[in-house]
Amino acid sequence: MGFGIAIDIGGTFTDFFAVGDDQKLRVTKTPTTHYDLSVGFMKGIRDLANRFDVSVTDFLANTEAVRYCTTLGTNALIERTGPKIGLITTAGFEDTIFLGRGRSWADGLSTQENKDLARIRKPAPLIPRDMVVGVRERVDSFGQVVCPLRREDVLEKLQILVDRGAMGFVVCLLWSFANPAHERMIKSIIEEEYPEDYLGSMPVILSHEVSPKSGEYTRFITAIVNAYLHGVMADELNKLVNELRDGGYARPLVLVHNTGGMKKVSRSRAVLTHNAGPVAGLHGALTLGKLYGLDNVIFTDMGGTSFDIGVIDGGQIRTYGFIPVIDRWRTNVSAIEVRSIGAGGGSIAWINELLGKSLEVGPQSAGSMPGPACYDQGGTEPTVTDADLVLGYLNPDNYLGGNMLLDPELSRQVIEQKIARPLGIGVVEAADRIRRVVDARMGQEVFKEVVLKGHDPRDFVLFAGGGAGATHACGFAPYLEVRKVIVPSFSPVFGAFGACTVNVQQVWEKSRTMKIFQWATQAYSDDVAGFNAVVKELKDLAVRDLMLEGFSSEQIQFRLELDMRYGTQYNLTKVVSPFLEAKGAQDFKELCEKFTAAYSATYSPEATFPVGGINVECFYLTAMVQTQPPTLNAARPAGTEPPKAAVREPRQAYWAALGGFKETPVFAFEALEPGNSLQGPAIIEALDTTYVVDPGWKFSLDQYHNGVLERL
Amino acid sequence: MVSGRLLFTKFLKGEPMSRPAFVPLTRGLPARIDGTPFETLTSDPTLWANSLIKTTELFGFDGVVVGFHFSFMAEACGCQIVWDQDRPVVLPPLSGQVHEAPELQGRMKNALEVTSRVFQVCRAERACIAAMTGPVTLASQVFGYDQGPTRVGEVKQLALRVAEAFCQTRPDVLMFMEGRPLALAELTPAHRRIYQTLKNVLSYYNVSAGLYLQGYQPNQLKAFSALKMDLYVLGPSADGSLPTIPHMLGLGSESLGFGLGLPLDDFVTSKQLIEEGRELYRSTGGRRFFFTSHGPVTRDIDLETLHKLVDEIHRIGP
Repeated sequence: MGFGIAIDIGGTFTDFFAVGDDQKLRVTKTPTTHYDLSVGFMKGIRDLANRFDVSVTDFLANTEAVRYCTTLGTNALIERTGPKIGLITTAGFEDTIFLGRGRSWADGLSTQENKDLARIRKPAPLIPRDMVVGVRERVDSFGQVVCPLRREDVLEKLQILVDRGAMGFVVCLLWSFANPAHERMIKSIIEEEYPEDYLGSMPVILSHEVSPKSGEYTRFITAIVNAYLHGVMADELNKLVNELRDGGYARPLVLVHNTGGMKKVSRSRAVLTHNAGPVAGLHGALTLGKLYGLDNVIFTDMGGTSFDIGVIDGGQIRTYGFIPVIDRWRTNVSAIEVRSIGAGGGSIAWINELLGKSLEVGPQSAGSMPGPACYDQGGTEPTVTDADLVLGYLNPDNYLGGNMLLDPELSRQVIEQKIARPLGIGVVEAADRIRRVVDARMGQEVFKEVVLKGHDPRDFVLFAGGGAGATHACGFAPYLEVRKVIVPSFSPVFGAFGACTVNVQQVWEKSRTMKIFQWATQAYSDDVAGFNAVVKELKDLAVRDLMLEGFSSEQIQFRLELDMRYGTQYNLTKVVSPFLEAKGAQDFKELCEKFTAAYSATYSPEATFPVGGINVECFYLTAMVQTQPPTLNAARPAGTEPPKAAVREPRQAYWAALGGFKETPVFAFEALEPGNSLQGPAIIEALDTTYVVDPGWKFSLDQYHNGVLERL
Repeated sequence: MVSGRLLFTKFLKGEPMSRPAFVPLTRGLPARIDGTPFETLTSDPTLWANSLIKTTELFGFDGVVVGFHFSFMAEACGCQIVWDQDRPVVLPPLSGQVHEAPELQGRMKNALEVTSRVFQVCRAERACIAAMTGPVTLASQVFGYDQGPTRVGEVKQLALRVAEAFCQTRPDVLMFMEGRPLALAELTPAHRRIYQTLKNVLSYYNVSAGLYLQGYQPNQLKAFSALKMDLYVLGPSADGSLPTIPHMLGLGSESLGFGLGLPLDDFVTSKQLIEEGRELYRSTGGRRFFFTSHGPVTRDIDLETLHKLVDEIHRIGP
């Protein structure tokens, strides 16, 4: 029997999703072991093997792919524990990364933090100023060498960095994406001086390879972040791969990318792994949406630490309209847009004395250690999970399928001590307020995310994923006025499920300005050869790369996207090209019409300005080999009445709408049958989550064994 | 030759060992081997770590134990220590304020540094065991013998901080040392709760939880199985008698097993216990126990006897 495994590491739990040859799905969750991620990783693998009733060795030996969404590098960035890197740049541009952009001090901060002008600071640089050197060279914007590079100059500057303790180099020269010759020359000099067979060999990252796009600040930063993460991730991933190998796994570990694809570890760039988990979740929502025939889906994932929001519009996932930020650094990777806020089961409730003792929840999280107070690991801060437990929604003896026993008394104590007493209210009221505050935060964030993109949330179906998604869906859905929420049976590990649905894929990109509609002549360009030459260059790179991964050129599918703008304007609009290779001016006309339509949809038809000319600024070629996502088999519906086996002992739960604690029916999710339906208030206990059905809502189990919540 | 690490890992997994591991509770022995006073040794992490590694390698122990002294934690919490013939004696109760970060204080800070260094060096070949004072005994040291058992909740955060600091050094086992305050007290829900919290933290770090008990009444040992520790080790009882194998089996019936303590200064009795251990090894299929010392291995031990006992244990096999 063969298996496929997907793993998504979150701030609190590591999620596992596995599918066997028989298409049976198994999921599990383990606490994320931040001190050594491989501990939680291997524990989850053992749990999955148990659930398939095979030995770990057999399980791993018969596993065809392990897909992994990792956050390995994030901590290195936050804690600045990466290697000491030297930056080699064009003389005169040594301060580019320190000057930053006009508002680079605000990058990566929440709106709330952005407003605190008295405290806001630029982040400490990843490379200190004394580790930056400039070499005399210059290439112009057309790629012509204006000032040649001198070997002696490079050697001299190299020595300065080595003497100061550089353990690797990033080479970022002006206009290197137009002509990378000088960057390549520097790399070859370094490799000659510090060959790989020497202990002192040093990795060299070239900016044109990581990010062949215009805009030196973001290109430099992307290359630096990649170099910074590279060493840390390589060590940790090697350790993980060794553990898997020791366990019997014989294939490569595959990393999910934030561009919506996946590649082997050996062919992945570190910078592309950031935020891959939420992106995988959004991809999972796309797959599930297709299964249901839904084009418009709002994807949410409420985990222990964060709440992720993504939008699928017209059956499409969008990439970032603006430049994605990794930690506090603006990069220019073509990442898929998923917004995250600090709201999850582990989010800490606190009283903001500065705002008249207002109750706030998050963004700080209790994480997996110490976790919520009820985990009994020494946590002393009240969290959302503590509130849910006090309100009777969670079963203390059946959390994570009974693998973790919760202590409600500890939850009561911390809520009493930290929230109820300072506010002069009771524990239950405090718990209810915590729940309402976090639901409101999530609901409003989702509303903003959807509405500010020009959509009406009522036209969408909400997918609620994450360990706490089913518990809070009825709480935040009303802010969107959506009437239907789908909570898949594997919602607690939605990111891991999503990882099983992504294709082998990578985006190759190149900045190249082409005026395809000339403002001077008001005519379409006839430079078909120039356009096609860029596409061919990217295509050759893609085919070479994917063939090295073991795929044939026939298996590869391509999609061309273009950053376009009106002449004299600044903002770019991404457009999917209707063709891969242009055949004539007629194709450019079609492309311009597509651009105008996309521009109109974003900025309104009144804002269009074709007489200013239309330029292509950047080419993105996505090369993809499709993989088969897990199959969800539809079952025949049974009756609406839940079977007796699904009925559990009722318990007291708090319902504000009903005036307090009421005896509430409790059901076992695993014993429910497709077609079963029940009205709130009700609680449904699944292995790794709890569905809370508020009064005024109806829960039903659909043909795919997914929960559907509908507002009555 | 099979490594001590492999043997102990098999013990922790409940798998058959090719022979029982021998992990004595080293305390003053490294000071003797190094010819240094214990006070000097424990105030210098480099000296202490090197000495522990040297001692473990010299005798071929299967594991290394760090932090096995009741005074470290008490001192770190703020209790006064006096040195009597190179032995630290705790003077309870605490007169001033409790230190809120005991892991950063005095010799506990050194012990953690030593634990980290020693485990890094020894991890490939030997079992790594850290030890710290258990919360009930600590409460008695801090608040006085009378008040300790009832004020155990007040040392919870201190014990958790130090336990977590030890866990970050990645030991195989963290052993909580309890003396008479727990051994002679009736086990209360408060005791069970604090141990449950400690075990939850250890479980997060994938570290097994051990209990070392001394000053107990042998006929009341069974009660401590309610703590549901992963492994148990018994030191000297209140009446000075040696623990019997049935006692140990009763204590650890739901656990991974126990450490069978050998009185290392008494070759004849130890040899007799090794024989009993040989029988036990056969009857359990090589599972559920390892040899250790009956109480701490101090500097007064006879080194020749120790060598001989190690040889005897190495001769046990399937």
